[in-house]
Amino acid sequence: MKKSFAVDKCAGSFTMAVLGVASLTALGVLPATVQAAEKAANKPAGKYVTGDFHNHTTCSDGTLSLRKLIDKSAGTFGLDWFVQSEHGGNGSRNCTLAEDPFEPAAPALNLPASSTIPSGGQPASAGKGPNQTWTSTIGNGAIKGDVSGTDTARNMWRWQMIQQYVYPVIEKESRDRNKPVFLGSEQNSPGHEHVSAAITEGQLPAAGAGNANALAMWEYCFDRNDTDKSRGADNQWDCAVPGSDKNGLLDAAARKIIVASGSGSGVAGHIKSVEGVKWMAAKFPKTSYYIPAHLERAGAFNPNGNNGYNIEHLRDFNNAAPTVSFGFESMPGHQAEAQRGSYSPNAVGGGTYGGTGIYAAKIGGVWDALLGEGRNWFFFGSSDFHNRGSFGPDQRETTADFFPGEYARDFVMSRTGSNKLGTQAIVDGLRSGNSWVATGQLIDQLSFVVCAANPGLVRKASQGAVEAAAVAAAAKSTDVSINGCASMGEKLVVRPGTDLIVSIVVRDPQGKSNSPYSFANPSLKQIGVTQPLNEPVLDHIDVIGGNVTGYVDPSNTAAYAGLIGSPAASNPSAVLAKTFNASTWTAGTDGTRKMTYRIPAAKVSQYLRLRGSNLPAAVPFETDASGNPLLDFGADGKIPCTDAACPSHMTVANGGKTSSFDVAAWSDIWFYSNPIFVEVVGSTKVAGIK
Amino acid sequence: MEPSVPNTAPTRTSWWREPLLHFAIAGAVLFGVDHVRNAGDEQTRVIRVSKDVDQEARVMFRNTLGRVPNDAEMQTLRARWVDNEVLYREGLAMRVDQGDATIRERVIFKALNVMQANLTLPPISEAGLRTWFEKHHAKYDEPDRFDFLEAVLVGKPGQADIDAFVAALNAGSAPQDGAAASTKSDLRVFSGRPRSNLVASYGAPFTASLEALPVGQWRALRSTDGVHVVRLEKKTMGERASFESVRTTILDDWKDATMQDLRTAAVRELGKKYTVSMAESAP
Repeated sequence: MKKSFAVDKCAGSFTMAVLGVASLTALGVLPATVQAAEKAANKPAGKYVTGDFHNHTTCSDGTLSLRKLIDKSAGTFGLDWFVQSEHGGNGSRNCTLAEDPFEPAAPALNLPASSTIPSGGQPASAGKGPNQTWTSTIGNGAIKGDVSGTDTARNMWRWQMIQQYVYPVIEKESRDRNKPVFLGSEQNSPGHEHVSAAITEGQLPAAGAGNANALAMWEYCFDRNDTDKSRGADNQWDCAVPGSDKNGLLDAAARKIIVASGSGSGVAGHIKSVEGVKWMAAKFPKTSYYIPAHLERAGAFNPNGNNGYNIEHLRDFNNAAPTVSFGFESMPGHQAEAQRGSYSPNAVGGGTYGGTGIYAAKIGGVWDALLGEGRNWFFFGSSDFHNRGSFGPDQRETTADFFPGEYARDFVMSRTGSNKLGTQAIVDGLRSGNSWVATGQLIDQLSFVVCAANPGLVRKASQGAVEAAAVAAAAKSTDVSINGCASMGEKLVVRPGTDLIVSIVVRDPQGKSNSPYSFANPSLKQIGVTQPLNEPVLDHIDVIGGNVTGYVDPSNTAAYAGLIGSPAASNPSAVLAKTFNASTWTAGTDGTRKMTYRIPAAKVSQYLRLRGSNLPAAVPFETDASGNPLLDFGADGKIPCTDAACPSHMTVANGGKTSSFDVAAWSDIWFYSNPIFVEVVGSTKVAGIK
Repeated sequence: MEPSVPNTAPTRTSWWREPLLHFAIAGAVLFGVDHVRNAGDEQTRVIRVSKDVDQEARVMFRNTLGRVPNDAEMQTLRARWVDNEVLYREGLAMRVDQGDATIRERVIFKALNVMQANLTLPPISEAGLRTWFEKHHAKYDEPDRFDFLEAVLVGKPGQADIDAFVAALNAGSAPQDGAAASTKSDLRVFSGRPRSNLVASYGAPFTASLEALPVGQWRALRSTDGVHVVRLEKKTMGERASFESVRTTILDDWKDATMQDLRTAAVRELGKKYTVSMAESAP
């Protein structure tokens, strides 16, 4: 049926909309001989669960106690899972102590108990708080390892914090909340900046007390800022990587690689970082992850220092440990800072683009280059919560960070069947690539599937059935699990000439978002659209596609290594393949948007991924004519915030308030999916996806 | 003489153990009262808790909790302010403000406010206001607006394919059908886009070409970021603003602009006592 300019309602009118999986196969909707990467019957039932894995407390450079941060994240903002990370190295403050409630205590003020009041914690009269030092609260005698800091403010090494003090609090919070709350670490990566990492081995056992000893050891061994040489005191760790030819670099006393600063430190540091990833893969291949964070922020790689990452470093990590290093956090936290994402003009790309770094934001850039190899390299976001800037932790405004779950959320497929959600399901979900990220509550359901069309069936029936399955999956926050179809992070193997059916179903949630502002979105006001900041509307979804041409050999330096824009860091085949909006999707009254189309006669291996925004194309200072996000710095001081309710903390330019800080972030929201791969028999193998 | 910290306040020992940086109600606003410090107080280690502190604390408390604080609560609020003042002075002594971009911005902002307090807006006559309006009327005029469709080009079709696609569209095909597989496309709908938006996003030549299009005809137009296949649906001519209808806004804007000019002049005047040297640009 030819589509007209009007909204295509063909798919929505199908009476086949409520078919089960067995019915689809019985009706011959899907070709029986198409091979999917994994049989549907082998996949336990799963659900997309929301979480955050990068955030900070006073144990490093944050401002809250462990309990208050967890309460905000898993409590107030309702995340399903939460990984509390912290910078490696050391710190002088005791984040295990809760804040005092406001004095007089809340009951005396006749206030109801609030989810923002920390659970447990110390009574006000005891006068404890998480800014107190380890020295003043446990005494210097309890601090292990090499001495760091002063007698009045001794630093505790992060490995001891993890092992002895923080993990017990985390485990109790997890049990009390009946949610997986566990520990990670933001590694100061040797040769680079930061990495969000975790080893879940030992954490949150089904019964009894667990431990985070594996994570503690990894922190000692591989964090750039952990200069302790005590081998973890009574732990007596040895950081050798099984079978590595780099073990000769280990310091004899500290039994870890120690990289000297100065000339060559970046190169030497990268070697140590790769060793760390290899160590994780050797010892904890299924219970760890290593995800470079805000990787554009510190600029390009510096061979003589610790700055950012070029594409070759990401390839190195993934080559060394594909089950551990499988993606990046190119959507940074700090989304409400004046320099969005905390990216300065010195960042690769000069800043963020709609809140995302250029490595993922640019079509045909680094991310597409990696996907174009058929690599399992996936996209994640985080809060990187440290503080609220000019505002307190219980205020809704912020000039720095959003809380975990407040603005950005990772939706990760976790297959637990009928079992309780635990750490393994989360890590497996992250590794699988079956995940997506949304900011500002732009969407809260996504079903994205590619199926092989059955040539024996009329187009309409095929497409309608796939869409119906996608609709059903989205409604249950799960994915389509049908032989002959692939979801995010999976690959569909087809014969040449097979038509592909692509179906996307999202839900733009009704009601209000977490934005505290209800005045009109200043970015959209520029084009005459009035949309309350706390009631964002999904404007469009783009499908980005590219070809898979195979892994690049590391010996082919020109194709393997290079700065942004170089052939090594580009995929010229990646294009905007399709765009859907209110004219071309079918809208439901509950906020669902469904859209399905056919790619005829697939000839080459390829991938598809999605992005979407509340901002249409050609919004001044926000998007270009093709809908690509523009450099966020370009909007500084440019978008007027003239509504009477525009808050007083906005930047003023030319005598008037301009959209900035959290208002700018709430105005400009996106979602990114992870890719679905299609491997055409006889074309390039998508080697990174099993 | 301003009262020092009352004797009924919590003891100093217990203050040090309190979470000084997590004052849920005050947040960061209480620092607004730090200007009451008398000159030389830092050196004498005197902290003065003035009536301004009490007043601001009462206002904030009321705004947050909906009632005025009782005596015990006021004691706590004053104690918090004193604690913050101590930290502030100690922090300055430790020079923790150095190299902190947020603090730098805040100091600049406050210095600007202090300077602005000394500036006086000159009077303006009705005739003067009209003259200012005439000079800036474009800001108030209702702009020309355009409604158009875009048949989004998918992939990277060549010119011949684009031309064939446009011909097919004008012959009645839908964008999704395309003239060839390489020119299948999708639809974007643009409503009421002002001229300035189009010039910024597509360039002036594109905008001029779009404006000249016959309504309902598809054309491929070149823009600053490539070719876009578009169809003009409607043009709405703008209207020049009338002084009377926007007079209130004009007066506010004149005030803002004039204050901006005065501020700039004042900063430049202050700047005359500095010698500015510019680093040479790299070749």
